[in-house]
Amino acid sequence: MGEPTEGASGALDALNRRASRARVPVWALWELTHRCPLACRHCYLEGAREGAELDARETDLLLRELADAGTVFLVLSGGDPLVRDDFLDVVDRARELGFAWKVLTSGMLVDDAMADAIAARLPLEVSMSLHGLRRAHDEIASRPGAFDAVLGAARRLIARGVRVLLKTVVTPAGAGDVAAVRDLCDRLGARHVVSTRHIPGFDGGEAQDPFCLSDAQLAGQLDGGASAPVGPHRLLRPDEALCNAGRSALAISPRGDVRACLLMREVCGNVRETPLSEIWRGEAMRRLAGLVAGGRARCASCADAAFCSYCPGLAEAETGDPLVPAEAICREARLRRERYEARA
Amino acid sequence: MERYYTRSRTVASRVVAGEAVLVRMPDARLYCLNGRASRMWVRADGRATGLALADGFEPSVARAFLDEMVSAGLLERSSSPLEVAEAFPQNVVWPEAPPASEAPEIVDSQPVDTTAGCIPPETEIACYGLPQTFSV
Repeated sequence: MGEPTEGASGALDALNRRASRARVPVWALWELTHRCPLACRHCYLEGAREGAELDARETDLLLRELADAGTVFLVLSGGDPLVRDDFLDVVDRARELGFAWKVLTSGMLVDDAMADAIAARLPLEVSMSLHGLRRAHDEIASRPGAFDAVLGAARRLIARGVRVLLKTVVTPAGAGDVAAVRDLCDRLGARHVVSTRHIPGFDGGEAQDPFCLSDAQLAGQLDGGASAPVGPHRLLRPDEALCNAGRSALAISPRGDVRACLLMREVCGNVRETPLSEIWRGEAMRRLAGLVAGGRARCASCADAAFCSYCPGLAEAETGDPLVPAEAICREARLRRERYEARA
Repeated sequence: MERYYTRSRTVASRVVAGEAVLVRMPDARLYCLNGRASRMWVRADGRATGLALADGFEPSVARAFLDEMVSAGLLERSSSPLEVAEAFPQNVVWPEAPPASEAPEIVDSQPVDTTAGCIPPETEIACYGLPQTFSV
């Protein structure tokens, strides 16, 4: 056997490269439902196209199609997938079909019995949002007791050997709590990640504005709150792909709409009407898979390019065009450069 | 005595572009197999013997690979066959056969960090803002 490798340049990167070259959707994010016990004030699902969720027969068929397509990692998301009565049935079927699965949940429904059931089904990880400490989280989630529910769920799962990830999407209300939340996660034994980007809502995005960070707040949270500024990175070649969306990743909505990623709004097809394999090979998905760095005309001479972590999905969600940068992306890159130059 | 090999039920797996990707779920560790090892993996249905899995390849080398897979908890070994073969849960389209000299091998192994699903390979700044798409 070759020497095992640790870190980002090992087997997973090799798999991503191989899958992208061969266009195999090894990553699938499936929103099982948009229903959720919480009503987070910055939730981007506001205005999302609704309709009947895929039923048991459709769910089974989709899982089979994903297996044959080569999907390895199945991320069950929502809403909160646990509100579906058949959530555990879906997981059982996914395991029978050989998926490595994980779930994103609000944590509100993870009692002892559900924690037992999840642990027995060997998830890669259970992910929950933690918007800040108690006051900030409950306020943003619009639900008193939500903070305690997340902590309770995390403790139950961790006690059963389940890996838990808590994610903080930083808002002005929760920005001051990030360090304390990180400490809390350390004490719990949970992984913690921070996101500074807010996703425009399906209804147009203006509702996101109150949740945008000031420049000072954002600069303090960039790169996971790293104390040392992140330096310039290698520029993508003009012919290099912008991300893996549509190349080795896809997203599916509760009603079966297939998109290249969760953020991209363009629907490439619906599994109720078209086999997944045809959608994946179809013109719309191939076009999105073919987005390359050189297609971003506005970025060609940007002084911040080496500090930019461009996201075509966020760009499309904000501007309607995956190749026209979102203001949020440009602001991050500018702040990252300024922070780096100030230290340098 | 004949020994029979079955893919462990605690392992998730797929064949991607002719090579098997295995995820040992209890500790979320990813394994990648080469072409010959991938064919052996897919055929380990609980009714296949070590000799059958070797498929003409040098038996001692094949046996060493199977031992390694069993030690890693990826394969289960039994002295009796399963009553019903466990079909591989994917219709696999194999590319051309591996070279005759290619020995079965685990080519790489790494803990899974699924934060990176959307990130283009080889860029140095991670996609911090992704909404849990493949992070999470």
